[in-house]
Amino acid sequence: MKHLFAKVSTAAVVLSATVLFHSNAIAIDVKLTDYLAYLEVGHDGEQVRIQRIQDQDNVLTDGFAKTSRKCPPFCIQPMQVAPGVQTVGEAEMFRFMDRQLEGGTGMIVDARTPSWYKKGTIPGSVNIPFTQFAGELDDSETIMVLERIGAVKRGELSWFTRTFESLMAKLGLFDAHMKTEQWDFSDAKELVFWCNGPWCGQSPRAIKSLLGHGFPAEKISYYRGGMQMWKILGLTVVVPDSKQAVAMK
Amino acid sequence: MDISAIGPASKLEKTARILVAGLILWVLPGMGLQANDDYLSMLEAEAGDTNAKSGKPADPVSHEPPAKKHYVKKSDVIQSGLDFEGFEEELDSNFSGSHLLYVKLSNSNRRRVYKSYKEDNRISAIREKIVKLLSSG
Repeated sequence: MKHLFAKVSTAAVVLSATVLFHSNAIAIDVKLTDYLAYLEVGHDGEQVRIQRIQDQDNVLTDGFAKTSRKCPPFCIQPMQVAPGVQTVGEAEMFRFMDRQLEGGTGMIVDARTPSWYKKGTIPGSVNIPFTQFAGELDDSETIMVLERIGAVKRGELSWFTRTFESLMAKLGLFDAHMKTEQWDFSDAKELVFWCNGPWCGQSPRAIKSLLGHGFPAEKISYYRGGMQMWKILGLTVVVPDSKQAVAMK
Repeated sequence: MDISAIGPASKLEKTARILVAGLILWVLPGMGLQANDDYLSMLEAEAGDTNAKSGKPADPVSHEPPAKKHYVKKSDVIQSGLDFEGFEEELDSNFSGSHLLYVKLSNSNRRRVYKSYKEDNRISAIREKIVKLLSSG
């Protein structure tokens, strides 16, 4: 009986040990937010898990550890990049990824040149360098980019249509700021632009160029923290050539 | 003022102003383009200077906790090269859960755990050994 009791006790200890060990194994100490341990987003046809590095002693050792780049051109950017454009942080990025990105109504734009993009990008991002937004409205590159972000090219408007829309806009019955004479942005994606961080002017340039083409400001958000903040928070970075998610260790 | 009193000198002045304005307008876009080129070249130079170090890849489709699967971090191993007392102390200080079970082992089994530690200092392996020895009675 004593022997049986001992065996049962040991089994209970082993079971609790197993539960204890597994609990420790499953626990993620460094979460994204207080309610979100990680999230998964589609990137180039694959699912990528966005998480934070769990090593609490980890430090940045690459170029993003630099504190001081020459300004100009690498000047600190203002919080408000342009009127009507919302500046967002990481928590808003996670929400956008979960809702608009996964829902197909949003796009996250890495506005950096390819040489930066190739070093690593935020999962879920597409690379559209800021230079591609800077052309004239009738440039083929500009047309391609606008179509890529969901804008629809309008045909030649008749005098009647132009007059009618103008009148309706004056009466508040026509959403004039979603359409220009050449482009209809009504169904265009909601966009989040980012680049290297608060010292990077690439995404602000892209945003300003896009606004110049008539794209509605309320459909644009600016993730000012960019790759700088993304990395300092230990968040997952995808290196495009390797097609692997890199957690920066 | 009598406008007709404006003579050829003023007309020349006007023409000169128009020419200068035209020259500026002709040159300015070029300067803008040059500024853009300068910015791009500085961007590329900085990109070359900024080395992105890649680390151990994370499994993109993993459903297991990344902390267990993807990193061999300092807290996943017991410092190697410790003597028996040092090992027990380390276990007690930093792995109290494992130590709780370890102390239930007989002295000989504790020595066995220590021997395993010398071959493999990962805490997961040590825990496994502890549990195995506990369950074998």
